Amino acid sequence: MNALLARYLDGELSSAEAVEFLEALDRDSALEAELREHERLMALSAQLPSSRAPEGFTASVMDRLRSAEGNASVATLPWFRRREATWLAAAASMVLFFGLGWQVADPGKQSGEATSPTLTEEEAAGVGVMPASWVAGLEGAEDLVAVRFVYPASRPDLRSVTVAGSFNEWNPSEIPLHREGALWTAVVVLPRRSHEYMFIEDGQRWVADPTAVVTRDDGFGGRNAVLDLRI
Amino acid sequence: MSESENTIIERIRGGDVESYGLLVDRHKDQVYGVLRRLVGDAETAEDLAQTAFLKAFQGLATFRQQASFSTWVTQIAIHLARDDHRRRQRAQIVPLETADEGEGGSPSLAAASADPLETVIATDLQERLTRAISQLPSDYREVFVLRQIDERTYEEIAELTGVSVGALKVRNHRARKWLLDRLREEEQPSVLRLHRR
Repeated sequence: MNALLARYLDGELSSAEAVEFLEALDRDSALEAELREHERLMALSAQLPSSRAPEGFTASVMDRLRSAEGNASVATLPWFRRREATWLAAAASMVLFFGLGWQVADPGKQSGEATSPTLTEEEAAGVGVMPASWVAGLEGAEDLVAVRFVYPASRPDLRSVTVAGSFNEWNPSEIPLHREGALWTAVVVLPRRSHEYMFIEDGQRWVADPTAVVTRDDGFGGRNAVLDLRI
Repeated sequence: MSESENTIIERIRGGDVESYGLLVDRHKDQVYGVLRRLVGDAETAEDLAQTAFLKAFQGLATFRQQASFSTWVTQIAIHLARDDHRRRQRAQIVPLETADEGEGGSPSLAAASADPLETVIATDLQERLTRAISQLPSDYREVFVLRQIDERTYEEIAELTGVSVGALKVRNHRARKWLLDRLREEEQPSVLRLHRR
């Protein structure tokens, strides 16, 4: 009867189920009491005072936009241009690892599956976007690793795929993958530490990496893929 | 008539950064409100809300408007809240509290326990409910806040959180049961019965 109670509260019972449930309520005073408590809780929750953003919130955001992020311009601030991508490719000499979810380019790794000592021009061009803050930190290139994210095209009408993770504070639109046949790929340079990430289809659907070897509970019932670059 | 969001976004993309303030103004209460319920304390909620808007700005050039700006910035905010939750867990910090806050905020825990006689008034019930929500397991809290307080549809919540509609329904029901159990434990006779219509 609990299943019917939940669905009743969600307004999802068919006519026949509703009759069955209402009859059960007549017979079962405990069930009726439980229903009333749920209804009361829902009403009270909807009446909780909403929290409004503090005074001066918008001004604070705009101040941070202008100052902390440097010369804020939507045309120049967030995006990593091809010129920087090429420089970045030169800064890191690499051997590619292969796995479907991501590939690591790292001078410290040797692999029989290695195919390229450096990022190709096309691979560098794959770095479609890159946060400005990353560019500023590239002096220590030995602490950076180029990673190619690879996502299998799950359906033919897929229009876009992005990757978001702990490395970009889960911004779902910052790092687009580019279609290459049946795969979507993007090369991203990341600090040598552990990262978590997810893919986003069409800007809306968050998808765990289907090929991830290591995943971690996100604390909310989902699982993030784990990319540990320290080893 | 207010300017459409698409128009504002195009203007920002054209270099008019100051117009971003219009978007922030439109959505700040919603984003802050969700974060306030998810992370508990006002200061963290404000910081995360600001960061969410900054991240949204940084991604505006590639924002394809397949979802609304509101959905998009809320998605970012929810992921920031999840990161914050994990950081607190690692640091073994008690995750949530109902700190003093100004307009629209929750009363403090100290005030809640100061006078037992106050338990029969409606504001106390709201206070206890707010505290219980802040203690919900994190996966239950997320769907409860978005569904029962923010009054979003399950489909919207699925889009925001990446969790299936079926799983969300189960969690929401369990969240309600968890809260009812907690409120019953806290108060005898049940505050819910005391205030029943």
